[in-house]
Amino acid sequence: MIAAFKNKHAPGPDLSPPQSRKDKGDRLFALLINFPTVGLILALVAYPVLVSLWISLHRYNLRRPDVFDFVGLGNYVQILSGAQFWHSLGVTLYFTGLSVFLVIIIAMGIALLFNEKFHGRGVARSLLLIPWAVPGVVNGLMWVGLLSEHGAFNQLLGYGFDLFNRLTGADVDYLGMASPVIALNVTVAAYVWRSVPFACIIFLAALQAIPAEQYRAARVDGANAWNRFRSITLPWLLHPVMVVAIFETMNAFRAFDLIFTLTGGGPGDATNLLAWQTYKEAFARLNFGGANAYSYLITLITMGLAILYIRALYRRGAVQG
Amino acid sequence: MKSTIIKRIILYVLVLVALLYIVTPFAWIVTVSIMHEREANVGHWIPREPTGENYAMYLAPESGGAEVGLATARKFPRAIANSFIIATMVMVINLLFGSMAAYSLARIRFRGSLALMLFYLGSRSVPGVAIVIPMYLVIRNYGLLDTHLAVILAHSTFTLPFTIWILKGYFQTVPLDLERAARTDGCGRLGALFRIFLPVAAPGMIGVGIFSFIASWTEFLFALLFTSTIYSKPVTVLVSDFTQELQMPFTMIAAGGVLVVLLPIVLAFILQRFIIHGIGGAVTG
Repeated sequence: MIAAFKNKHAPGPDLSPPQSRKDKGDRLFALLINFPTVGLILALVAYPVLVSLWISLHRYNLRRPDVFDFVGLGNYVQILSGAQFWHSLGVTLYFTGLSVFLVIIIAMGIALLFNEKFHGRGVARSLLLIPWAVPGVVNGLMWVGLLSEHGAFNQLLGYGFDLFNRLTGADVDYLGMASPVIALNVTVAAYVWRSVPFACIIFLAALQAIPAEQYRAARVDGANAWNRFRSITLPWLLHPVMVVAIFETMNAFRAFDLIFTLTGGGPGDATNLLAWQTYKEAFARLNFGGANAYSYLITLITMGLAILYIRALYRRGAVQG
Repeated sequence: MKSTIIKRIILYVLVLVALLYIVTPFAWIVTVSIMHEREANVGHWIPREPTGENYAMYLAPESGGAEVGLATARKFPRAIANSFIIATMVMVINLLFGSMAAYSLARIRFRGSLALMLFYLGSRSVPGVAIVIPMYLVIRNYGLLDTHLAVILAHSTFTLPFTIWILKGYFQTVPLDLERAARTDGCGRLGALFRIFLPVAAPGMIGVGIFSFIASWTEFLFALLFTSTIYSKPVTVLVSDFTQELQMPFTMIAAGGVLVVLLPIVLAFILQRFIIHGIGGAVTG
């Protein structure tokens, strides 16, 4: 930054003085009005990230708060050589991948529908916002009620599809010990339900921004609905899809509140996401050194994913500085 | 002609399916909230004997009723008030700081603007659970544990990057001439920003305002760790207390859930237009 500053002033007299003073004033003003936000992020994100790194290099357990020994990468070695981390990473990647995919598909479908003209569209769009307003904690409790052994979902299947229960011989407990795979997938379903509206809002906003003339022109050229979708709608939606993918990946990776009330990481270890494992390491086992190492691994993974996404965006030329 | 009618019918059927998917789980919670416990336990969808006693527990806890969960229910009004204070302050901070930062990124050419944008987006890619422990230590060192301020600051850092990014996109759609005119008329920089520019950009501001409000209202992890007593505990944390009870009173949880969701839903319904319109500028960037 200093070099840039020098460069700018090197020609000195060549630059017309009023121009340069205005630029300097603009820059100062710009930095000034960014200051509150930058300060907040430095104090509450950047600084903790550094502290986290420092703690992660130490043996530090709140059960013995007087011990704070430097162990280098010891915590990391311990985590990476154990099975727990790799299991949680696998579960998290599955959870995140499937959630992001489903959110994009379902939200896209609903956005395309709700972009059509029909009676009651305003009401439909308002109803669409309901899951967004439901806190993750409440969402978790709600799905416990829906999915437990004598829960509402089984009752519904009982009304309509008695066959389902007869085939399986009993009420299915979607969150039960017997079916860890089902438990993970219904956790995804619960997560997706709450995440769809936000993605929908972004897609709807994007759809409304497509110039109507493009569709008219395509119609004149005799393009059918599918061709119009493929050659006009899809390219316009590419950027918003990437945006949603980034946000949803970040959010799914940190999914915590849903797990807190829905599964508690169970049955067994089936829904033990990295975020949940970190929380347990810190606040159940009080192993702050190890928990911070976990934190750092999560940060590295999500940062890596973010860089991949942003590079993909840049390659498409969709991001503007 | 016939094919357009068929198309209309298909459209309405699909819309109905989408709405069923969106509304059904929540509608069930609403019906459970007016059931007796014994009926909820067998998973009924439609209450045979509707009752208001679950809501009465929250709204008038002195009236008696079941013992289970009563202690939590008593704290409910205060927790709603805490949530309201926190979310409103988060919204104000987002609108104030966020609009200033977004304005500079959208309107002023200056060295380091791209770096700033990447800094904002980068801070957003740090998962909350990854920094909550050191953040907890920082908050504790400042003696802010169990205060509204701790949660407000935490939520603000997480919502600001998104707010800035959305507003930057929206601000770029506002015509430049207005400010130019104001500046030549002798309006200062901040004056032009707050008196001329922001009123024109109001729809975008309303959009991100409700975004940050709902994000704060629904957040759980930071609220859980930074608050401990009813002095500052927001309603999401109070609801999670139910899971610590020996026997989960599910009808009460349902009624509580409905009450928690009520305010953000009403806001979202009223401001639905702004929510979609407000982020339009950003995503088409």
